[in-house]
Amino acid sequence: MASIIEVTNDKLKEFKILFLNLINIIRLNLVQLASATLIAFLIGFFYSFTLTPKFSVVATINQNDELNSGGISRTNSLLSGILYDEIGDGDFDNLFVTMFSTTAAQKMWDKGYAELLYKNNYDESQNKYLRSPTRWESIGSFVLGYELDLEITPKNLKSHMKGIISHGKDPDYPGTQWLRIETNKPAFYQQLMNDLLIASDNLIKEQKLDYAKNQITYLEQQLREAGDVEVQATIIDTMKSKYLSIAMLSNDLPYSFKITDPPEISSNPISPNLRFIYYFFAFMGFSIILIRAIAKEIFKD
Amino acid sequence: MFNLSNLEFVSLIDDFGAYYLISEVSNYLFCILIVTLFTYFKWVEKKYYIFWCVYFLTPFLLNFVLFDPSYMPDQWTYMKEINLVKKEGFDEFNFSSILNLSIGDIKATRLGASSYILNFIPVFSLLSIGSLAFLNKLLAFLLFVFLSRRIETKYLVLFFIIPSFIIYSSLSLRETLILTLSSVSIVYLIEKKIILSLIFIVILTLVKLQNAPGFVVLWMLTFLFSADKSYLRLWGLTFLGIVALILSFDIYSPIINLYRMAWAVEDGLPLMFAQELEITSVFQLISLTLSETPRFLVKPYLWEISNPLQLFVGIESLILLYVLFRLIIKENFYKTKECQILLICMTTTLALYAVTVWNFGTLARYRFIAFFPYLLGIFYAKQLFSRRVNFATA
Repeated sequence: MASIIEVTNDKLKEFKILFLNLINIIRLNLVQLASATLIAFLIGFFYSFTLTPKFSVVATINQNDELNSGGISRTNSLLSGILYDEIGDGDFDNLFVTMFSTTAAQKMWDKGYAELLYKNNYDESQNKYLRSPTRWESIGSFVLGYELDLEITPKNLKSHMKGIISHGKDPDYPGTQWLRIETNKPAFYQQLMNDLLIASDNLIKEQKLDYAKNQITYLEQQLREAGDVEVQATIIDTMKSKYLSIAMLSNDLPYSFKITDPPEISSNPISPNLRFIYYFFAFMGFSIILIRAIAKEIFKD
Repeated sequence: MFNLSNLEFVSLIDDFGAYYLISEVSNYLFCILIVTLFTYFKWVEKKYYIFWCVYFLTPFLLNFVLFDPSYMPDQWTYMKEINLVKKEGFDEFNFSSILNLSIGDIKATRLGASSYILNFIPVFSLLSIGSLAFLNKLLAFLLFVFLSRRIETKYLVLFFIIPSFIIYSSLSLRETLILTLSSVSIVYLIEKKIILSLIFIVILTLVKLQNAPGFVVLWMLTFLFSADKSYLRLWGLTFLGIVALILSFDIYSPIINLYRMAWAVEDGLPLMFAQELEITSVFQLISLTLSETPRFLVKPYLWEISNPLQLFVGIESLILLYVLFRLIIKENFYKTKECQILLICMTTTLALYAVTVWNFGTLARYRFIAFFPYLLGIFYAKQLFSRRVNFATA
């Protein structure tokens, strides 16, 4: 028992000595620590002047209750309990697939976003939007001997929209999704987000409409061939429901979602976060010097 | 220290750029500062200082370099959850939900408990998608400090350079927390510390329900039934346990089926087909356990390998199995009751995963978190056994 107490006492004594020595190291390096912190802070300060203020454009949409679509969350509530985080987006999957498709990009392109986004890239002689090749593209083209395709097309617009728009679900409100853009041109992107939401919804409606019309054509054909009266009645009922779908899809109301909050611009810039830059730069300066001072002490012998 | 709410960040930094680097370099320096202080106070041998300085760099090599963070989308879930805990504090974790035991509550509890525990590990920034990786690294470092008092450091380092351990501790996932809790639990169980082991098993149960049964069995065999006193008691109790499992199939089968189907759906199997995976009888469960557990240990088979990652994971699991085999064979360690208890409980954990896990990605992850603590435990128990043998022969 005595030996355990002795060992504990020895360890405490050693810790006390080391702790006092550490205080001494900090005291001896105080000037260096202060200057490194200040210099790093100043680097952060000057760096912050190089940054452009960015605003956020945020919209919130939720599921359209009128829409009777299936999905894992509706099919099996127990499974959805486990899978919600992993599968998550449920009914919005189709919307986002459509939103970031080439077809939606083509619609936006036709709406004039090519002119608005790429007007500096317009080449009058070729009547095309052209971009400059990256260094690696040029090297690749030279080495492998192929000609670079530098035309800006709706595919580029698609990549641009996919890159700039982030989206996710609100954990507190299942069935709700937010869309966000961080930009230094908030008014332009507010309009873009609004137009893209409408264009994507219209595309989904068009697809459903085409499908319903094709089904009616097919059912009409089946009706002509069916001899049994009961079968004919069933087909007519189905056709009626398809006509109802067409009527519902032909209005101007949103189909796949409802806009809870239309795209709104933040009142103040959200980026750069000056506190983040100043605190973090100052900490980096401070910690480098402190680590160096203690490491020197550790390895001095 | 800094999180989304106290720096008024609208969202996580989840793209590669200056903000990401500033946040992660600060985290790295913070971790190195802690390693430096631990080395200075002689809690870690100074010859491992450079090792740890390099080891803490690995989060920079995974997200955005080896793969896009969206390859492991769980990272967003955990980062958001820990930021929520930082913002809302204790209110975020609802203890009463533990007792309800509904699936929704189990899910909420495992996430809430993990985030709440991780909340106690200091890290400079929780602003970027990779921040939790540095917290995980720090957790791995603390586990190293804890284990270095028990296992020779030159061998212990080998556990920390297992590629899967490096990978999972370099991402914003909770695998490192599960590995740490499991490893500490098993060490305390081997040391027969009844209260400490129980505390860690309870925490582990809250964080990862599937890992817990093996440890609960281990705790009961060690403390309630003193199974290490005789072989008859150990194997008699094991037999009785199997009989009890057979008889109580109807009680636990809904949970097993639910997890089995959930993983299948997660892997892309339509719900209709996933429902066909339901285990309906105890005989089906027995045959499935006997056939799936060995497969779970060695998958993917050579002919199933379709990319370098699968090859790498396959080779790693075979090497770890070989190491386990060598450990238990050497000095006839497998004949001891301690080794047999650990092997029984390891089989319990692995069998549970084998019948529930469906997809390969999950299988590789869960196999490692199920296997690693037992490998470590068996190594530690073997080391104690060898010391006893050497002492007796001396």
